[in-house]
Parts: sequence; structure tokens; C-alpha cells
Amino acid sequence: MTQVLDDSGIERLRASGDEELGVLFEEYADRLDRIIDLRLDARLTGRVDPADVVQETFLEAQKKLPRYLDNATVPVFVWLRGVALDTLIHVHRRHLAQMRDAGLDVSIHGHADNAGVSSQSLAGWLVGDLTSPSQAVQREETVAKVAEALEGLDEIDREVLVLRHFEQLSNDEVAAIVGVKKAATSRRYTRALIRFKEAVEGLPGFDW
Amino acid sequence: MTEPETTLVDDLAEEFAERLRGGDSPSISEYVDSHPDHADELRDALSSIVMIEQLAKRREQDRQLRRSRPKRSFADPERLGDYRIIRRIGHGGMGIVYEAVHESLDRRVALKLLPPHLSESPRHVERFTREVRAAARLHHTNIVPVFGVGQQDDAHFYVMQLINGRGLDEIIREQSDADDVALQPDRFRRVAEVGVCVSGALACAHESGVLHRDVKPANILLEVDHVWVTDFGLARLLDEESLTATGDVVGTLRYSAPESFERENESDARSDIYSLGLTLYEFASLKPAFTESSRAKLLRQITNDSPPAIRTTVPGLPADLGLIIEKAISREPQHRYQTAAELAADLQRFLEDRPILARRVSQAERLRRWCRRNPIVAGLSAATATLLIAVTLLSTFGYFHLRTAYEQVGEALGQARQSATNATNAAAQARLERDRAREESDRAEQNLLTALRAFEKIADQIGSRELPQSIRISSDVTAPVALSGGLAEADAELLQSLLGFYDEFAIRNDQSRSWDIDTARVHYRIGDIHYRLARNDEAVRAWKRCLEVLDNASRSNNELAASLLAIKAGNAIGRVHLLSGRFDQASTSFRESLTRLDTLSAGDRSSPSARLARGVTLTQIINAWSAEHHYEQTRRGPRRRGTENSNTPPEGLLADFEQARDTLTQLTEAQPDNQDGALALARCYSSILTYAWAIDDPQLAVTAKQKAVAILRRLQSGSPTEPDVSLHLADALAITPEAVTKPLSMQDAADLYESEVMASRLHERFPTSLPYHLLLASTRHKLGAHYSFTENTAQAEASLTAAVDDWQSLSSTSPGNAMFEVAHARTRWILADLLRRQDRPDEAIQQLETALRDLEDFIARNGRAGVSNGLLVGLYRRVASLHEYRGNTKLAAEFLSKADSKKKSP
Repeated sequence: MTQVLDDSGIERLRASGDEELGVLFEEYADRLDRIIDLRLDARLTGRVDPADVVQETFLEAQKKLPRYLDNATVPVFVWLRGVALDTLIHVHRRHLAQMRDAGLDVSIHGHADNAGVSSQSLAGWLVGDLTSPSQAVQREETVAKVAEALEGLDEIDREVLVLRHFEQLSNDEVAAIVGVKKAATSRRYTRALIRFKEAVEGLPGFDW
Repeated sequence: MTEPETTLVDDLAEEFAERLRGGDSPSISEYVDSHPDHADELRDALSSIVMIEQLAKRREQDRQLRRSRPKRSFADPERLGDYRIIRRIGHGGMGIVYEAVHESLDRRVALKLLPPHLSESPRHVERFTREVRAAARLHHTNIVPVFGVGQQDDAHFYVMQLINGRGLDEIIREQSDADDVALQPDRFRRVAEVGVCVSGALACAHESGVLHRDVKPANILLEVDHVWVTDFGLARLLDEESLTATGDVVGTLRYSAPESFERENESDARSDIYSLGLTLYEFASLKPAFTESSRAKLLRQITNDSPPAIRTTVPGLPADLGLIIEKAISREPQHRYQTAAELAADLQRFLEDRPILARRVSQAERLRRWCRRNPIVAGLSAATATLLIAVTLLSTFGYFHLRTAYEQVGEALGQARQSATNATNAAAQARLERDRAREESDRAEQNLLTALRAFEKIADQIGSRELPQSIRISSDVTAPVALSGGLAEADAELLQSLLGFYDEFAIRNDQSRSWDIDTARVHYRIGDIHYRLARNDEAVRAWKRCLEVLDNASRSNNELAASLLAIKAGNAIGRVHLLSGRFDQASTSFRESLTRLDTLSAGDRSSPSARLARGVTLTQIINAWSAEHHYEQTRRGPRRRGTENSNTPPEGLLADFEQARDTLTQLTEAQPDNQDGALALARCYSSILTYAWAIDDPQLAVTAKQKAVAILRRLQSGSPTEPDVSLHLADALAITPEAVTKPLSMQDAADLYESEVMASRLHERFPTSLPYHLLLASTRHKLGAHYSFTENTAQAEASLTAAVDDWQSLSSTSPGNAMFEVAHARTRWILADLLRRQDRPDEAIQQLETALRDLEDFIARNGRAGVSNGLLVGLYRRVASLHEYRGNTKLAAEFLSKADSKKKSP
């Protein structure tokens, strides 16, 4: 049995197509921007503006809209998120391939192609405005511990936490993305939080 | 029974996270208390959320900052006015380009839509309209015709002929990807042909008073047999604000002439010529002339550097074409082609194999420009500056071999003061006729002295001689390595020509009594220049000559100055001995300096400069102790420290240290404003600090570091931008146990971190200065090692990778320096260990093999030159064990046998 989607957006899109997509997209643009910002390879920071990727996503979404409406199995936002990640993969391939050709010492890790949250983008977060060096060390260490603990989790746990807290998705949305029942993602999420806590406590020198 | 859809913890967590993001600070215990059944689970979950959200919030703040720019709309318009949009054909900083149909005329056009954030301001719109109208008046076979401007609602656009071509940027990218481009014989002709068309278009526009302002590959469109230039004048729309905002604009910056940043509204036709020159440069070499990708770094590159000389970097490039491009991209507008038509004509001459007008910028010309750019020279009076330039020119041309030094100085003076005074003749003739009127002779000598002083200032300005003390990171360098050299080519060239001047001066004046001290000073300076050009033997010879002159001179009238100069020369000789591992001779030289101080009259002896000299000399002696200890230790073999070693410094050293400390402390107490004294005292503490770590005396180290850092922080708060003080402070903070083989203390780590921040700022300010870069490389290495021992893997990897880049760039500027090679290998070694622990053995192997390859190359070229066998053996073994781990026993055995054979070799 196909999942019944309680999503008024789909009905609106069916009714007035492209025009409605523009309206919906404006609504979701900020969230998509956040996701792209998060998943953008750290090496492309400053080179690629996530807003451009969002714009490209919109054009892609226009193309793919009819196919989506033919068989909509996920809510509109979840679909758009998928389109955004596909677009981002293309961006990564385009730019990172160039960088390699330009002779820079870049090795393509798996994440560049699967748009995962990598240790490099985690490390990218640590670069902030350093006010006083000692303060910066302090902050860096704390934040680094959190990042490290996150990295130490197994992939599913980490991904669930990233979806909930970095992408700021709701449980419903996570369930739709992962494709399982809400109860299951809810349990997974709770478990991931507990494991994170254990991971942080297991790190040396963490006095949270 | 139906299962609840979500867990209680999840529900609460969602609410809790919402509140946190809203800026609330919800209390964990409140939640826990109201759900005692789930207390433990809830407490863990919520405190996890607090931590995770903290990190997420950081990220979110950065993002919001970036997004605080105006929004854009997403959907492409279907039609604009009379134009029906067909498809999007490109977008850039200046807007999106569409293919459209002008319905009433039924013709296809290209339509460029102004970005929404520019459309909002009436000022922009007005400017836009004006620029487009100006561009529309241009008619030239190579200018894309503009049909007009239009507006619908808030959207502003302009319409031009549709070109079925491709951007030159795309073509360059494609050619740089292809392998066989270099072989195409007519490739460079194509560069010139495009250049002729574009410069012709520019010439036409310039004559109509329109500047392009954004000549770059992306604005040049190529059809099969036609070249088009587009987007005239539009760059004007980009103000400061949008310059910082979009990535595309960096594309515009990359081709901007230096003067457009230095002075406002200073762009003229020659700025377009420059941009076209850079475009042709890129087309010819298939890579951008300026490569930095961040805005700030790119700006610095454009305003400070010239791109690598294209004639040496592009194989097969016809020399004349290279000269034309180089002339077009001269830094100074007046050295470029003055009109686009001239450029077009020279390119045409090249295509027709006729002689071109561009003349290679002569070496002398380059020197002259260097002088102009150098702030010290700029600060000199006009007459002296011209004199300097003239003298430099003369010496470079080698006229010294034809005439006497004085005649030239006379000539130089002539040039310097053509209209102002006739002291010129006095200077020239005073040399030829010694008995000329005394007054005139004095004036001539005075002028010469002025020039000498000016040269001193300039020579001082070139490169910093003092190297950081904190840079020892490995005991694998078995021989001391001299670290002079590392000068930029232009600097070395200038020093070389000053040297010619000094040499001649010294020869002429050796017999002249009245010039004793100045002659000695010149010998000192000659030594100094040789030293900085990494010619230590010549340096020592000159310094010895300086001492001879001083010893033979009657110097009753200026005993103190002569002694201080002698001490400087003696210490300089000592320093070379020290760097060459002749520790005894070094100590002897330094002790001789002390003797000179002791023989001064009581009054002179207690003068501030004599006290300073004493303190500095004693500090050098401490360095000699320390260096000797270091190399003794290395020779005896590593890792035995602490067993044969007493943890207390020898009596003699302590006595020297105390004397230095007390002398300098008294000096700084008597003269609190004496910066040199304070700096010397800090250096003295840094020296003992280095020694303290070498003998593993943490207590002494902690005290010394506190003292040094306190003094330097005070100095820095007085003059926060003084690079010397910052360097010493960063250096003192970075002095750690020699090789970081275990986690540092919290304090040391924080200091090191601060040092890295400072060093990277210094390096950014002075990218070609060796000491700053060296300090940065070694702090990154040490920080990386520390992070790696504390299992901060992400940071460790980042620091170490950065350090690897640093070492590579250092060894490319000073090839043949074992210290950089060894440090480089060491850094990769630690990085490899880190990768191995993360179960990335292949990358680890790659790091180690690269290190080994580089070292083997180095040894092949330079001999062992101080690279220890132990390092090679260790690296081979590491690789072997990694191959073993990967199950590749054959490779493992191969590397093990390499290790064994290295171990047997002496």
C-alpha cells in the first residue's frame, strides 16, 4: 500500500504547477540553503555560494516536477531536499574535478560524492572569528570535542542527529527521508542522543 | 495495542531544541523533574542537545551572516516587455543572460537581466542606464552591439545581439584540460589574433570615451571566425558592497589593474590594457596570472606582486609575444602601452613577423622600479633618492669597471641635482683633484655619506636576519644548517648591486685616514650583504677586514663607536661559526667582544649602548652553549636524553646568563623606554628557555618563558604593529620541548596556538619574509603534533597538512636547505601516524613515500648535507610496517631491506 501523504503542497502543485512551485520554493529556500550550506564540501567554501546552488535546485525542480507529481511518495519539502542534494553532488563533481586538474593536492573522499557531512566540513565550522587566542583555544576545544564525538558515532546515529539538529528537520520529515515509520526514527533519535552523550564522556579531558 | 508514534523523549527533545533555537535557555532539570520515570534518559538526551545545538548554532550564525544580503527571486521570467524569454544561457556577477525573441521585430537577441539587489537602488539603475546607452553608441566589428535597455516592474535589463560563441574562459579551461594543446603550433598566433581584435575594440571604445572596466576571459566571446567583446562599462555597477558579496566578482578582481585599488577613480584606458594583458597571459599560459582564490589574498597579490615572468614559464612561447604581454601588464601604467591602438599595432607586428616596439624591461629599469616601490626609498629626499637610483644604475651597468668610483658618484650627483646645485662637480672633481677647495670637498663627501646612510637604510630593510629560536623541531639534522639567504630575487639583485658600490668604495678609501670608521662600516656592510646572500666565507672575510681597519685606525676621537662596530663584526663572525658548527670558534669570537667591552673607559663601559652590546653578546654565548648541546645530543644518538644528561645547566652557562640578565635588567630599569634593551632582555630569556628545554628542565623553562613573554607583551602593547616585536613574541610563545613527542601542557598548547595565529598574520603581511614563514611552518607542525597526541584528529590533520604546504614552499624558495627537507619529512611522518590510527593506511603510505622520495631527491642533489640516517631508516621501517599491515609482504620486505642497507651505510 502506498503511503498516504497529508501534504496540501502537493495538491497545490497539481492545481497550478510551475507558478505554485515558485511560491513554495520561496517558502523553503531558507531551509534548503541551510542544508546546502551544511553539506557543501569545505574546500568549496568561498568559491561556491550556497544561494547559487539553491537557485540551480529550483531550475532542476522545475524540470523534475512532472515526474514527482506522477508518483509523489514523499512530502514536497523532502522531495526538494533530495533535488537539492542531487544538485549539490553535481556542483561537487564540477568544482572538485577542476581543482584536481588545476594541480592542487586534493583527494576526493567518499563524502564529496555522497554529500555527507564530512570531517572536513565539521572542521570548517571551527574557523570562526577568533577574539582572544586563549578564548579561541577554549572554544575550539569544546566545539571540537562535540564535533569529534559526532564523528565517532556510527553513521546512522550521526546522520539522524545531523538531520534533526543541523538541518533542523522534524521527526516527520526524517521519517519520510529515511523511509521508515515515525516510531522507529523517534527511537533511533533518542538512542543517538544517548550514544552521543556516552561518546562525549568517553573523550579524554572533557569536563562538560 | 497501538504503539505510540513517537517516544516521550523525542517529543520533549523537539520542544527543547525549538526553545534553544528561539534563544530561550530551557532548564534541563525542569524537564527531568517533571518526568521522573525517564529522568536518566532525559538528562542525557537534553544535555546532548545543548552541546549539539551549540555547534549547530555556530554554523547557523555564519550562514545568516552570509545570507544577510538581499534575496533574489528564483523563477526565470517568461517575458520581459516586448521580449519572450527562451532559455537561460549563462549567469555571472552582472546578472543572468537569456536568449530571447524580440517579438515585434521577430529577431533573436541576448538579454541580460540586472541582478535584483542592484535593481533596487535608483542610483544603480540610473548608472546602469547611462552605461548601457554609452555602450550602445559603440560601433565596431568586435564589439557586441547593444540594442537598448528595458524595464518591467522591478526588473532592469539590456538587450544585445545574440552571439553563438563561447566564452574565452571556457575555451581556456578546456584547453588546459587537454594534453595536446602545447603541441599545437598556431596556438600562440591565436592568442595574438584574439589580442588584436580585442585591443582594436578597446581602442574604438576608448576613443569614444568609454572604458570597459571588466576585460576578462569571460567577457570575450569567440565564434569560429570572429571575436567579440561584451559588457562594456558594466563593472561600474559593482560597488564595494557587492564586491565582497559574490564569488563571481573575484573573477573580475583577478584581472583588475593594481592602480584601481590604490587610488579611487584612477582607472583609465591603460587599466583596460592591463586587464587585456592578463587575459592574454592566461590564454597563452592556460593558467591565471594571479591564482589566489580568497578576495583578501588576491588583492594583496595584485597590489604587491608581479605574475611569474611569462617568457620563462610558458614553454614555446615566442619571445616577442611574451614581451608584448609583459609590457601590457607592467605594474606602472606609464610603462604599459599607452593606448590600445599601440598594443594592437605591436601584436599585428608580431603576427607579421616584423620587429615589435616593446622593449624588454632592462634589469636597471627593474631596479629603478623596485626603488620606487620600496617605502624607505620613497621616504628619502628626492635628491638622495635620485642619487641612489643613479648609483644603483651605474653600478649595475658595470661602469665601475671603466671609471673610478668617485667619478660615478659625481655623475650620479649630477643626475640627482641637475638644476639645484653644482655640488655635483665638486663631488666629481674632489676625487680627481684632492687639493680642491676644502669646503667643496667636504660637501662632496657629505653627499657621499648621505648616499651611504641611505644605502644602509635600504640594506637594513631587505629581509630580516634574525631567525626564530623556536624552529628546531627535529634532531634529525646532524649538521648545523646556515639559514641565511631566502631572499626575494629582486632584493638579492639590489643587494648585489649595492655590494658593487660598497666594494668600490672600500677599495678607494682603504688608504684614506679620515674615512676610517666609514670604511670599516662599509666592510661590515659588505659582510652583512654576503651573509644575506648566503655566502658565509666572503662574509667572514669582509668582517675580518672591518676589524683590521678598526684595529689599525687612529680612533681617539670616537673610541666607543669604533668598539661597538668591532663588537658587531666580531659577533657576526661568531654567528657564522655557530651556524657552521664551530662552537669553540664561535665562543672565542663572542668572548673577544666581551674583552673589547672590558677595555673601554669606565664611562664608555657604563654607557647604554655598551651595556646593550654586553647583554646581546652574552645572549649569543648562551645560544652557542645551547647549539653545542643540541648537536652533541644529536651526534650521540636520539632518545637517550635524560639518562646521560644532568638536568641542570653547567655553572659557566648560568654565570653568563645571570650576567646578561642583570646587565640588561639594569639597562631597562634605568631607561624604561629603551626598546632595544627590553627586546634584548626578552631574547636573553628566550635563549635560556631554549636551553632549558634542551636539557629538560621544565622549571627553568616555565620561569624564563613567563619573563620573556611578559616583556614582549608589554613591548607589543606599546607598538602593536611592529613586526619585529610580534615575531619575537610569537617565537617565545612557540618554544616548546624540542620535538613534540607527547601532549603539551594546557599552557604550552595555548601559547603555541596564539603563536600560530600571530605567525600566520605576520606571514600574511610579509609573504616573502623567510623568518615569518619558517615560524609559521614550525608552529603548525608542533600544533599538529600536539593535536595528534591529544587525538584531535581533524585539527591535527589540518595543521599538519598546512605545515606540509609551508615546508614545500620554503624548500622551493631555498632549495638545498636540509632543515626544511627534514622538517618536511618529519611533518609527513607524524601525519602518516595520524592517518594510520584513523585506519587510512593507503594515505599514510602515500605521505611516507612522498617524504622519502623528496629526501632521496634532496640527497641525490645535495649529498647528505646533514640529513640523519636515523630519519631515513625510520621512514623505511614505517612504510614497511604499513605495507605489512596492508598485506603486501613483498613491498614490506623491500622497504625493510632498504632500511637495513641504510643502517649499515655510514
